[in-house]
Amino acid sequence: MYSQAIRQLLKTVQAEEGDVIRISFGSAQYDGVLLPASAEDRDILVLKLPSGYNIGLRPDASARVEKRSSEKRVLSSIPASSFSGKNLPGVSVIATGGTIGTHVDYSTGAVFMCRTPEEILGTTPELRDVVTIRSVRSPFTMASEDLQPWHWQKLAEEAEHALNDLELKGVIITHGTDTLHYSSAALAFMLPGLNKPVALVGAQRSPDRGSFDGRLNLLCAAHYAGHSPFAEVAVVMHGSSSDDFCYAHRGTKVRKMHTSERDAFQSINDRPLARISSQGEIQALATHVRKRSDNEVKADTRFENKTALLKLYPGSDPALLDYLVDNQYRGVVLEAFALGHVPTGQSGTVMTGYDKKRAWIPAVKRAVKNGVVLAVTSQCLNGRVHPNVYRNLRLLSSAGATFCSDLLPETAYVKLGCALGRSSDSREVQNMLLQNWASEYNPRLTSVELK
Amino acid sequence: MTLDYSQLGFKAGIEVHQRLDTRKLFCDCYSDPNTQTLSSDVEIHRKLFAVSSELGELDPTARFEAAKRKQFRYLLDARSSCAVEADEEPPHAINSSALDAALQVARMLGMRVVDEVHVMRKQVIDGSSVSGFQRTACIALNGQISTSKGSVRIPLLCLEEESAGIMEITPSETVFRLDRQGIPLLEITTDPSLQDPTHVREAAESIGKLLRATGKVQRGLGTIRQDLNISIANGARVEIKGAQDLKLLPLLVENEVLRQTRLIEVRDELQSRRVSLSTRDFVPVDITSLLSHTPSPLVQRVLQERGKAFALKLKGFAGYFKKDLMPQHTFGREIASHVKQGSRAKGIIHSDEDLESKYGFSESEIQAIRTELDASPSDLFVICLGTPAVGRKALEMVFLRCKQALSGVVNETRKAQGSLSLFMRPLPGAARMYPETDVPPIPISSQRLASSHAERTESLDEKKARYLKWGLNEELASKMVRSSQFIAFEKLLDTRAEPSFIAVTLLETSRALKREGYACDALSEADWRELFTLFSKNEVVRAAVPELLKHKCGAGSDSFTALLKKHRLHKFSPTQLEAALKTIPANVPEKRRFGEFMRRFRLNVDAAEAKKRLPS
Repeated sequence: MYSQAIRQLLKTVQAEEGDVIRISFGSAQYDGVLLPASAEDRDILVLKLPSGYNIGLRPDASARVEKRSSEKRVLSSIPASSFSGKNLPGVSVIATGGTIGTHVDYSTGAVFMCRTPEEILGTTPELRDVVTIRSVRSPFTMASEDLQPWHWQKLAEEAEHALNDLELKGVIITHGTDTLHYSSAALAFMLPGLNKPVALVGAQRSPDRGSFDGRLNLLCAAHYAGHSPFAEVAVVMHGSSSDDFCYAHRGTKVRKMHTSERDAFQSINDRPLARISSQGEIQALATHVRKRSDNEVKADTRFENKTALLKLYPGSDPALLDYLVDNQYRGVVLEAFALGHVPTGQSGTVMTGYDKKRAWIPAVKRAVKNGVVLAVTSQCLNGRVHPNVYRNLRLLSSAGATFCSDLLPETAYVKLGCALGRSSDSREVQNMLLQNWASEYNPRLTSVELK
Repeated sequence: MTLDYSQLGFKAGIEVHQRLDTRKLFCDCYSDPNTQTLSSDVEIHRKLFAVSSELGELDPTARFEAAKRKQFRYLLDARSSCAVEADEEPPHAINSSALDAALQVARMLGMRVVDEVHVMRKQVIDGSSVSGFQRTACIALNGQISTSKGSVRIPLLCLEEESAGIMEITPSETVFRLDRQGIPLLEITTDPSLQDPTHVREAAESIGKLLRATGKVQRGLGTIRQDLNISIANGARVEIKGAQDLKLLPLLVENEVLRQTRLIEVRDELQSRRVSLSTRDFVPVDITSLLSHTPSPLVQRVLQERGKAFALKLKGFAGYFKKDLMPQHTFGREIASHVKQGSRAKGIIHSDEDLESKYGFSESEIQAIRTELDASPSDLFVICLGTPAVGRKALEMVFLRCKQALSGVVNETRKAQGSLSLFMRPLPGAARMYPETDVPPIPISSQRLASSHAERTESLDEKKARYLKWGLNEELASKMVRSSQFIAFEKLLDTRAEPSFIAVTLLETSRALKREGYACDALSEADWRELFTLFSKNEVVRAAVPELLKHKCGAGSDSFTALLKKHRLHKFSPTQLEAALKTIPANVPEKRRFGEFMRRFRLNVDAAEAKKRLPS
């Protein structure tokens, strides 16, 4: 929104955003399209010059505006493309928001969502030769940092619907990348007995660029959903910085490991399910994979919102855990140090009042006594936690915390929420936590996983 | 051939692109890619796609580049490229020294600086920018320069990112180095009012001089280049990119005017002879079987690799392919440059060439081809070799270009090559620009503007006059104002060493030593200061300075004072001088005593002083 003074100035000639105006002040005169203000209460007027450049001008008291024309361009939809009509596997697209599946308004830089199969095809025309997109559904449109567990539940219901459609060979979900790996874990847990491939796909670069990475990601996701033999939830993203191939990462063993690079998603404590080339060659890499089947899928979307993920750090106050217990949380994932350590205050020779106050074992015992399930995972991400190697680990384990081996902290959080949703008995939840529902545990960390 | 430019309806403008001597525009990488070799640490492979506009239109340039379906390979080295160049990290804040330099230049050109700078993305998909766009910002508007033919308007000053450097082009892949990408580049555009080829040169020269006077621009090969926009009446606007040599600029302009004039002549002739081409006339014919026993080594090679030969008849075009459009540049060559740019074919063979002596075709083969194509002597035929897809695409390029010739000159972008130019791609439509949302608009405060203006910049001529007054001779003064050493030179004057001696040492001595392999450019200002202070305090003689520099370049951390002692290069005291004089044997004849003395002690004794003692 422009400042009062500029609004006043524009009002004199009824100039609105999108109009071609001439503004004169001092000895200078500028013609261009009036653009929206670049921030709140701006005293700088933004003009698009005929050369295409935008500039900001600060009109003084002498400024005069003239309206030259009011031809406004309507921008809402992107150029669509139509399907080949070839007999290709049918897939369903569920569009949820994020960088992928969007289109930019070139005058303002604003972003629009693709809403039809044709529009998605417009961003990645090669899809035409890989799959037939039968439907595009968009249960919500949101950047992934805004997603809540209820969005996962909605997504699982949408997916269930598509997975039980006999016409469809698989599902593609376009999604923001920030929390893509939480959603992939949630779908893996909420879709037991999965029968077809579900590809979650995002983009690290926006589609207005010639270098849009989502194009290869979408293409490989289509190969995965339409042509792969796997009935697994996978995150399909660039395998390297080059536009050569993607990996399909197992939805429960993947994590975003870089803020901006194309190959930000990496499999941890597991190898990717497959390597998919831009030409569509699918090379299976994983050793344990669920195959396509004729099962009917019944989504189980129960989730306990009173679940938390807590990171330990030197100086961390166990009162944080007390707070959660006092606020009726039923489960907490501790992202502990290395093999699963928390501060115990019992390892050194010098004891001070400070050490005792910062010791976590009493708070853990209190939580367990209150029926809260505590899951222990590692900040190292790579490797397993272990309840016995050191005395301090044994203290935590005997206090009642559940050590979750090579489970990633984020996956553990999602799984704990699902388990708590399915049972009110904390012992049963602990048992569920240790069962291998969707290959979230890898019993064999070989040289391949450990690289 | 003398041309009357005003009669021709000549219009020309230039865009000067000048690299700034700062780090990169949107990251902290170094901007000094002037090494011939690049030791790359990483390479990445990418593809770029044409992105259609909000109106569903593809830009003609974008379509042309995308149709090539090229792969791009980028080489990165850790010193001069990072994740920002690789399009793997958002841009950092704009380099403020570069922005200040732009503001200073805007001032010198009398321009109106914008109150808020908006960085834009300009779509480029020929691979020269990894992201698929170039970041560019309009800094100032409405300036002018004065020339001998009146003032020339400068409508636009922009600050933008340099493109990546091309290392290798093959039909399927282009290899770029990223050390160049993102170097700050000032773009100064004149209006199309330049009157003739020498006026073009004058404008380019005067802008270049002004830029150098700031002391903030890079020097040397490739750091400044001109793009030309030229048209004549009944011709078309043609952009010629990348002219680097000012001396060749007038000829480059003249040749383009000649090319447009000749193309108009060709059109008129073809029209008067009622030659026409319609889509029906595009009938490529596979003539591989006619050439199965060909004596032509070129064709044999292609056929052995399972390639094929395709031919196209162009009705009424016989003779035109050998017509010169520019010196050493026939219409046939013009067509070939289109084919090379627009398809994966390596070139064309056509019947206006001497097919027998140039390619080794037999007479009967040529006749057979003519018969197969039903071509009369007034028809021309073109042959392209390769796979069916490549051959067809190449002949399509030939056909389309010939069709264009029927309507005269077409808008296009060309690449300067000496005084000639070659086809590069169609002229882009209105630049596709939209906001770079990763960089917020940058308000230009009045304080910032004032402080950049406070740096009053004297012109190179003013500077030179000052240097002449300081005792530099004409040649040395000219050299110094053009050199990036002038800043160091002026700072070192307070050592009280003679200005011309400082200038000679910085420019000539160090250059001569560099040729011998001594890296004097690695010396810091403090080093030079020590050296010239020793000189002004009479502790070292002129002749010993090059020796001292050689030792310094090989010695690492030794100071000049230490080296002076170590290598006995200090100037003799009066007593030492007396002692030295005594070492000249008495039997040396009087007139040779001075020469002999200097031969022995030239590094320790000032010649003028010695001469007083040993008159020859």
